[in-house]
Amino acid sequence: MSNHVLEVMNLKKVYGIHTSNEFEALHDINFICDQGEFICIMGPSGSGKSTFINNISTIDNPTSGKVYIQGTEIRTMSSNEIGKFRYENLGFIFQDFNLLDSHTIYENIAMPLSLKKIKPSIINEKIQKLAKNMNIETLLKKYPHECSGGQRQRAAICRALVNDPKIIIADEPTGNLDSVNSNELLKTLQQLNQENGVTIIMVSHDPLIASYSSRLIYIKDGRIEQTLERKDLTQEKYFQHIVEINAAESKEALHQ
Amino acid sequence: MIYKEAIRSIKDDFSRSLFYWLTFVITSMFIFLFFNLSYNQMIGFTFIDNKNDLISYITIFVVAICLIVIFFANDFYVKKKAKILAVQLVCGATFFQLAQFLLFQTLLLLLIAIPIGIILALCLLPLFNTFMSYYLHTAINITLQSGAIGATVVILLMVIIWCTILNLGYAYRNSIVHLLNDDKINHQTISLPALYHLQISKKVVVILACVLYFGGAIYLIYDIDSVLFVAILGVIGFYLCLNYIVLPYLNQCTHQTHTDRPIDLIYLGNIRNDITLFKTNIVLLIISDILLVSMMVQGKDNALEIMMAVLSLVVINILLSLSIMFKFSTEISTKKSFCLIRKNWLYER
Repeated sequence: MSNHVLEVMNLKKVYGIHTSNEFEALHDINFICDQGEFICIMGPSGSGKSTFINNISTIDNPTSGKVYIQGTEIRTMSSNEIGKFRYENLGFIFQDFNLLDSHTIYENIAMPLSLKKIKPSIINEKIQKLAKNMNIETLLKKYPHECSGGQRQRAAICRALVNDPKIIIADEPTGNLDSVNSNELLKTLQQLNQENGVTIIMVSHDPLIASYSSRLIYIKDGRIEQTLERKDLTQEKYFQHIVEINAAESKEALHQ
Repeated sequence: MIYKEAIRSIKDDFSRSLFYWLTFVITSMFIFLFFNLSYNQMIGFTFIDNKNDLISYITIFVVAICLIVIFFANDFYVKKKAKILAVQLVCGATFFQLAQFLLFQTLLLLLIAIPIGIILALCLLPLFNTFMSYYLHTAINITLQSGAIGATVVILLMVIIWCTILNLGYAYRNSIVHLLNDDKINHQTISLPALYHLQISKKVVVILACVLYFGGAIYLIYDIDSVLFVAILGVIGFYLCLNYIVLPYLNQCTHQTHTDRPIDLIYLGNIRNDITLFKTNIVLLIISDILLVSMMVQGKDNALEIMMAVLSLVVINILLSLSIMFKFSTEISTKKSFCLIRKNWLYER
């Protein structure tokens, strides 16, 4: 049986079709992700990192190509099926958290379970456990605007984890966090990956953050330019390799 | 859960919900009043066998404008819920749940609005009768007509179906990334695939706009009878002038204005933004007024027809102004914070 949780074939994304601003952001990308991987997607600004992660995770619709998650082609699913599929398989973490300001932290975390009409007692139990793990149990009655960036991101992680997803999709999760909170968040993601076997696909432009991953995908001009696997490397060695890839790209840009 | 969320969303977004609800109240009130007048035996409008062409044109026109106004209000109301829809989708909501969430809000507001609109219309009936007998010297009394109730129900059912289609369409066709960005992007351009390869020089369009806008006035000196036709062409010219002359000129001014004149930059940015946002509403208001005034002139020998046209003019102006106010009130709330940020920045400098 295939161990692929995600398989992408000839993925293409074109913006502004039939307009004078037509732009192909992704060109025929092929990509496979196995169960339990921690993948970091890197690349210069405008290279198509976020477009790629959005299109492989049902956040956006590809122009052409196929995306299989857990063996199911996402474009063949009805809009009702896709909702159920997201609940069962995916958890999302965004750079700007995307918490609802009108809801308390508790209500924000509870939303996926409430939408599935899970019993309030079970919801409460799950939220208390997650909040304790993330060290936000005292913030549950607060609103997002009353919390710091790090606390809000931890709440967003709780929301992403509350439905026990098989894959976590994180688009620059540390983008709005200071170094202490970034480090804490990455350790949490690493722990989830190593202890719970959750597959993580994360976008970042920071080599240090990327060094927490098990595989690096370097995207440039809408194509996968390089792939680097950590294997037996120490985090420090892996970090150096990532820095070298970035430096080579920067040098190339300088000479153009 | 989804109904609780819907009620909560109305409460959280109270000012927008209030304006949206007011649009429904006033639309219901005018539709009911209008049909009571047009179904009056002396006017004799019916959907099936009407005796007066002009009256039927006016009635259809007013109903169409009511639906357009509801479309504007609904579109703006629902689009401001983009983030909550996106978050619900991210959390695993199904299309059916989103539809329930949006429809429940629309229907709840509409169902509260209809009785209030009808009660207000009943309260206004004596006032209209006084107005007509005093100013228009007509012997008609607007009384409750059985046909009017049926027609109002039909039109309001159409409104419900219309809103349902709009909201379901919005929930269905948008991806999460689109919904998350919808709150930030105000100016969506409509692409016309068929016209993509049709390259018309900007200069030609500018000349055409000026000819249409200013040329009509000169043409009227020679042929005063074509006033309606010229007026409509003039409005088209006005719209093209806004798009191809005024907005590019404001863009140019913004780029040339030096950053040491930040207040000027704010003014220019606001004017440009307002024109972009409100041009369609304003053009619709002008076209409606032109058509209704011409209908009024056409029926100048018939007091009933003038009365219908006057009432329509009032109805249309109130409804379209309300839709502009609704949009503006929503817009102004974002501008307030933007201006405060800029002001703070100025003080710091």
